[in-house]
Amino acid sequence: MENNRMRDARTKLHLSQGELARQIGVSRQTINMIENGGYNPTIELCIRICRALGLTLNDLFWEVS
Amino acid sequence: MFYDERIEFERGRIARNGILLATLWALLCGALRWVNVFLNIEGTRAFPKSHYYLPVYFEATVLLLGIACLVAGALCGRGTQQDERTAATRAAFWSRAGRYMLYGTLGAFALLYPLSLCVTTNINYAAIDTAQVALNLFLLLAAYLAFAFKERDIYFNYAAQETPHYGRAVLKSIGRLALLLLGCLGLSFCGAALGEVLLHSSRTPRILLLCLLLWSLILLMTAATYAIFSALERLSYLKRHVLSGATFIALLLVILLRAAYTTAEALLANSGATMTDQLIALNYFAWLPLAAGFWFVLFLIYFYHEYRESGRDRPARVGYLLILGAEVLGGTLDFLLSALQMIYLPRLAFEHDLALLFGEINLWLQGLTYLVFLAGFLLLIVGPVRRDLTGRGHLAVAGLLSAVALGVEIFLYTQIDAVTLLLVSGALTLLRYLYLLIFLKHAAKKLDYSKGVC
Repeated sequence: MENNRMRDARTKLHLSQGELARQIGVSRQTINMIENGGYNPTIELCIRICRALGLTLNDLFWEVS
Repeated sequence: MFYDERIEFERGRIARNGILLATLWALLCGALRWVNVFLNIEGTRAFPKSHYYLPVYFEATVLLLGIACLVAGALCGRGTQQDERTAATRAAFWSRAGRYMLYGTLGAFALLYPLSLCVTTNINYAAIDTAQVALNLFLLLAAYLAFAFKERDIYFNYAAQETPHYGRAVLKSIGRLALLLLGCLGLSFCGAALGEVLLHSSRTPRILLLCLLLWSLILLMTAATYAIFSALERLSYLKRHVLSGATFIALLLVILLRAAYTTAEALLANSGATMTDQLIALNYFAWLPLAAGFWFVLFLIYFYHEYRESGRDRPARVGYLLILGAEVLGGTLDFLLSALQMIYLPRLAFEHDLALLFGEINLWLQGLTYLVFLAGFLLLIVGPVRRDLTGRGHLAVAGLLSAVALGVEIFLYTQIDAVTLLLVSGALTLLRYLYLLIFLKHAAKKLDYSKGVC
């Protein structure tokens, strides 16, 4: 499932996928795949992304039915 | 610090599949070798036992290492609840196992190759060459690695892609590779020394020189391939169009290498030399089609990756897999058929029917590979035409080109000599490859790279 919240949070901070990837220590393709729903990150990676974007797990990854 | 869990998981999977591939290859080649020994039992008895046992140790080493890794992998984390932590542990295990398997395989080849040269008192044409088995295995694994990485959107040198020192990182990797191959050279020297001490070989200086040449050539080829593809990776990562003049020229070089080998084969066939002499002469060029086929497969992977977009095009994907399959499988089957022919070599000189049978099998194999390539060629063009990336005229031209080429080759088959036929076939194949590349380049330009990618 696409993660538009993560994409929106990233673009609000004027970060490209590459810049966010560099901050977190992953590849640009991984960020791309997470945003497009092609990869389901582990909780550890979710936390790293949240820290980099200054948001909580609920804000970025909680699925609202 | 760079740690990408997705890449680590995928690396683990790729390593596991690579280990499986190597194990199956060792099993197949080992079985072929023993079938050969028993079918040619009289020929076998003419040679010392060490002549057969020594080469077998390479396949046995790869087989045992592979089975050990696969069994350990199956037991790894068994009985524990499967979750993210155990998945990460398994991925790390497979990555490490793959590395040790690679070192073990290289080490076994490095040690056994000079030893097998020590015991060769006469050329046993019926024995399958260890060097061919090993080199084919390494090329297969390298092609699988390239394919698997690109399919999973993993760039070579992924950790260095986000850094400003990409070139330096590539040079460091080449340096590490050189050290590894230097270690292999050292092992080969040890093998040659063992041969002198244990087997009383009198050819040690020549064997040492052969080993030096072998590992130098391997280093040169591997370093050049790694450097070229690191450059392509960088261009692809920065979204600069890779299908440039330079890669066209590189692909032309690949096709010329294959044409050179085919021409050499045809000239030898027409020279009136005995089959044995032909095979000896061809051995000097045997690396040409291997290298050319390997590079072509890698270039094709890159060309298709440039064309592909996030929503995959099914006909084009099937077409691409068919072309790759035709190349990789065709090359592998060709090697296995050559190995089978070696088994029957003592009889081939006298039994005309048997020689004809092998000729027919070879033709059917080439014909089948050709048809699979043609099907892939047309499917690769259907996709972009359907998606309005190029006009229907291209599909018509591609179909016409294929039909005319096939017609011309069938017509010429009985009309002209083998050399001319091979050169004409080569030229027509070159024409089709060029058309395919121009077409893919044209289609790739029309793709919207911003869709789904930063």
